[in-house]
Amino acid sequence: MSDVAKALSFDQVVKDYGATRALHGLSFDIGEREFFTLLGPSGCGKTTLLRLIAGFESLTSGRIALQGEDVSTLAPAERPVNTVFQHYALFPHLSVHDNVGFGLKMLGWDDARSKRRVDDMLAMVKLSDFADRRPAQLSGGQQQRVALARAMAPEPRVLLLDEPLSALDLKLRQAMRSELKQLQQASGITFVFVTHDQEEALAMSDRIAVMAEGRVQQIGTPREIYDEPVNAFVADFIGQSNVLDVVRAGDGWSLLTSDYVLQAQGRPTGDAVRLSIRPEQLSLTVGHQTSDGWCGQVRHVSYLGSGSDIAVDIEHGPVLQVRLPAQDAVAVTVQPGDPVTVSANPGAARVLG
Amino acid sequence: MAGGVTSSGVVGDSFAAVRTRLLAPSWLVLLFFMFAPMVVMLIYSFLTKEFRGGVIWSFSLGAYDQFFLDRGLFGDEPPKIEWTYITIFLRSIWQALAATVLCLLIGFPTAYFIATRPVSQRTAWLFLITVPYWVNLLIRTVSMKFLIRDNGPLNEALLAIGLIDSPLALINTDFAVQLGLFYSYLPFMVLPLYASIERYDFTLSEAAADLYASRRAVLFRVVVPSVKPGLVAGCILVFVPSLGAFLAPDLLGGAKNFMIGSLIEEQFKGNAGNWPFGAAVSMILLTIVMLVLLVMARSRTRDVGSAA
Repeated sequence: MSDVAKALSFDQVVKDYGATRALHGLSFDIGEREFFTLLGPSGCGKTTLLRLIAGFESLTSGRIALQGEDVSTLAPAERPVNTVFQHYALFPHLSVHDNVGFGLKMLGWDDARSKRRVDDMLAMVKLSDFADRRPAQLSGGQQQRVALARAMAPEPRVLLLDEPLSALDLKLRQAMRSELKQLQQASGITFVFVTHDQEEALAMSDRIAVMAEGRVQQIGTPREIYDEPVNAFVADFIGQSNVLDVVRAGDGWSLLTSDYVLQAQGRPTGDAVRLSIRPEQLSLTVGHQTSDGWCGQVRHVSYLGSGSDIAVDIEHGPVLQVRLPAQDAVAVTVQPGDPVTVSANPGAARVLG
Repeated sequence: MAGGVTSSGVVGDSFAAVRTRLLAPSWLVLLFFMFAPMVVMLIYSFLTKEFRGGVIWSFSLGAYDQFFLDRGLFGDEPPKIEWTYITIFLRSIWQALAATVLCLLIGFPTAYFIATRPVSQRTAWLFLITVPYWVNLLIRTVSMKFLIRDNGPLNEALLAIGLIDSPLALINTDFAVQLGLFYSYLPFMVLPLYASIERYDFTLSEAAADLYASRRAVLFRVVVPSVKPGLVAGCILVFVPSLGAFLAPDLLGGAKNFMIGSLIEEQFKGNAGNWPFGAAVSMILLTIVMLVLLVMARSRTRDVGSAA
């Protein structure tokens, strides 16, 4: 991170609510012009961290620096960051134009300059024709874009987005993903995006911080997070994952109850470790071949359109999730109760820390 | 019954009939308690006065003439504008406006405070606001009189701590009337304001602060416009009864600080009254109140209209 300019840096950030510790001393940096996502289940502290950056909450201890300058004790109005709220928080009594211009007015921009900026912003989010409407007269997606224009109008150094897509329906959400990414790249503003939706995070982010229970579990690019999860939580939270308890067997690893030995990537710390294997990296063959894989029975088949999810009950072992492409010969014919053998593709298994 | 073909029509008709029957009690209440008394007042204001109270059933504009025009002691001079009653009206309007502003200044922070307490505490705070109003208004106003009179507890206390050398002359002043009105109608401001502020989305305040608004700008540009319905309702609920109040001016204001309510009251009390004149003053007051409400309603429809 040292060679890249830092937009935000967190130094031992701690937040307590009464006796409950919401954030346990976070330290990491977010780079300039980065699309950075805080990803985690509800209650993991991601929104708390966002509110600390905005200044709506005060730090219990630690430091937050914005472009190298300590902002930990500044009021929200003194921080050059703006927020897109989860439920937009548009001012209901103001027109779309005045909503977008609100920050500029408060900053004391003169009317002509402010109007130009508002017009540019509305053109950017394709709402120029709606300038005189009230928020209540707009659809959810349009309100979302007004909120975005309003937050970007004062040219913030960092834009904070608090699950901004969660209130939209699926189609709109997917359209907004690419729109957001394009806006971020065109504007060059650092985005800090909070979400619990891993698909959203993978699709848009330059880097992701996966959070759980007030701690950062892993920070990395979407590919790193998906391909090289550092622990069982990350492996399971990002996409689906089969987590297996295995022991050393010769030059590889095996389940205690099976002879099948497989290779794994990563740095094992002992003779008994946990492996993570993605469902799409498992294959199925019909019948039982003990040396080629884990033998078991099909428990359940779900057809998903683009593929099939198949749950297999391994004999004396766990239930494994297997994802097969829709055209796969086995996927088409397999029925619950059928005897099958599950094997892992080369390089699929990864040792978890 | 012609069966399915006409069923929708039958349902529609019977719905309208049911609606009319269900609404009948409300209509009767309105007719009997609102419309009828007002018609009586309107008619009485155009009748001739009977000297021992009551009316003589012959048409007369005398009451309105007495209100607006001064024809001299014997009624034979050229008419001039009569300022006595207009002055009482102006003073009443001034007092009612002042009471409204005072209630707003104290009521808004109070309502805001209650609305921002944890949900479990709000009921208790609201209860505290309403407790004094379980006591009769007359008793409360008389107590106020005892509190602020020359040798009452307030003056005694101020004398005792040496803040003043001689008792403050509070009783029988405009200030005393103002105090009485404020005290009488404060909850009518607090309750509707509370209802509005409680529904207010405080994320809007955060959004405004995030967009560089000062605390003052957050209050006046976001909070106040958002709770405007409650604010308007509170102002109407304080202004209208203050305008026609007679207990506070009677008990706390003395003879010099007459208000409309007292003027009307006097016309119907004992044998000395003048019923048509009292009725006429009431009708004029009603007209003013209706005009105020109309203006307020207009401004609100304009808001709603531009939002729709």
